[in-house]
Amino acid sequence: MTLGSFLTNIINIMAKYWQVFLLRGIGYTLLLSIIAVAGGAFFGSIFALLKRSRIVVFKAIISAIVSVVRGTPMLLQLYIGVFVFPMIIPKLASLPYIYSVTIVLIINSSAYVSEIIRSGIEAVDPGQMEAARSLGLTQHTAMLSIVLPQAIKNILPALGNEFIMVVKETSLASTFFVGELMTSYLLVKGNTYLTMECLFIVGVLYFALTFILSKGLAAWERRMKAHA
Amino acid sequence: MKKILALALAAVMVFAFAACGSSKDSGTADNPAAAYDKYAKEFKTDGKSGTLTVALSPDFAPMEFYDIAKQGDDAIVGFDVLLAKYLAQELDMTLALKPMSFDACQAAVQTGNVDIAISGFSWTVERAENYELSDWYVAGDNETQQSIICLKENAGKFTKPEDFKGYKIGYQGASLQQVLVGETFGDMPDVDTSYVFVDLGTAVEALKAKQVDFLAVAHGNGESIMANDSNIDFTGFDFEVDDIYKNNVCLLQKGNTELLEKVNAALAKALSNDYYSGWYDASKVYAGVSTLDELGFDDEGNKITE
Repeated sequence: MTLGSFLTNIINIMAKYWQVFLLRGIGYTLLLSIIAVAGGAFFGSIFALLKRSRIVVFKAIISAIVSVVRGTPMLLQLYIGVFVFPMIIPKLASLPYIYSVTIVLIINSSAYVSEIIRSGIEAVDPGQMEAARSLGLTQHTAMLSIVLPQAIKNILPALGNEFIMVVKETSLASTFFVGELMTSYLLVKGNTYLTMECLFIVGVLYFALTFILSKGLAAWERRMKAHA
Repeated sequence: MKKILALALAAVMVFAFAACGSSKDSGTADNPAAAYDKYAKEFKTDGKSGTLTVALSPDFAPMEFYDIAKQGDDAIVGFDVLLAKYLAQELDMTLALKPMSFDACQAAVQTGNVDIAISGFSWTVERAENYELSDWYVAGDNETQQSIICLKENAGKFTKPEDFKGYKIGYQGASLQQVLVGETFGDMPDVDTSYVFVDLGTAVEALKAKQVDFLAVAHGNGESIMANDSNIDFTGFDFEVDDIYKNNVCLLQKGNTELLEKVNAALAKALSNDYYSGWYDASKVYAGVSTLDELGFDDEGNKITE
């Protein structure tokens, strides 16, 4: 394999299959990532709140979910989501796999986000809470108007990193051909048997995606600091 | 700063919107899909006796692969898709194709997530123990002829098993080729058969990078590989294939004998009416392995018979 033929192959592949990579692949990757992180932020917040609650049952359940999700490979979770969830929720069986895959991604993301939120809250100096309480604020008000605003500043950058992680993790969903970038790779490779060329193309696209995202997030972080 | 953000957002939106619509057909004068489409259109796949869900791994031209110009289930094409459509018609069921990786196909059948897996499966002892296997169907020379491919410079020089002494032979894991390599070279310590690949594409890369000297492949897949890479050729060596391996089978969940009987009845009918060769030829043309002329089709995709 010479460099010349490698580049020619890439150009030929892109001329014929650009829609598969640029439209379908990137479209689905971003769609899945955005849903996963948005859902993760919502359920992750609930997880974090439940974990901080005084009810032991909630604490135990959430701890168990978070430990299992963080302690098993994503690919395994996807298999379970696609093949076991429909046994529990029969409605899922008649829907395309992308629904089960999305649910798994949201659960996975929720577990990580809940830890991000928990550590963000814990990173706020306990003195803040004590001072607020000694000034006569209730626990509830102190949490909402004193601790959480400071915690969010810790949480948001880490949430951005989680988004970048999820962009890459959606690639595992290609096992079920849901249409994201890695599926594009599988499809085009299956038609052309040109593996390295297709890998190179999706590699460049993944990098472009995460690079743009991380630069955007960095700019946003600087703005947040300036306004602090 | 705002500019970068705005740009990034704009890019995201463009992709997101574009992903919703689009796709034109790449209409060419000589339409390789013609013969295939003609077969595909004939089947009635919206029957009333429930849904037939079929797992397949569409990265295996010409047996099953994607046509990007088509939408939805129609985009999955190939010999096994025609067979799935035929089965749906015979069983009066509505067809739903479920694309997934080759490994996942077996998990899907085992868990009952799909009714049947049709993805170029060969008969093996292990599969027969853990699944209900249908009667065989003929996938043209993709199964009957099992070959070894190499870089062009070695073409034609290796014709008998002894010629491979001192060389490395790769193959796809959990495949018929793994069985054949084991049977043929298993007792020849000079032949290095320790190179197992997760899929055929990776194996071809290893061949091109000279990490292995040879690859064991089904003949039809070999032709698909060569259609895209002129540096690869057949060695001239073909495996001796036991009759039992020569054909493909469908995988069903263990115990699902009711569906198995219906599938077998439909397969018997297809065999006695000789449907398979036409389907296979059409799929080969579609995958770019052969041309319409070579296999005796006219421009509208009709098989020319004397």
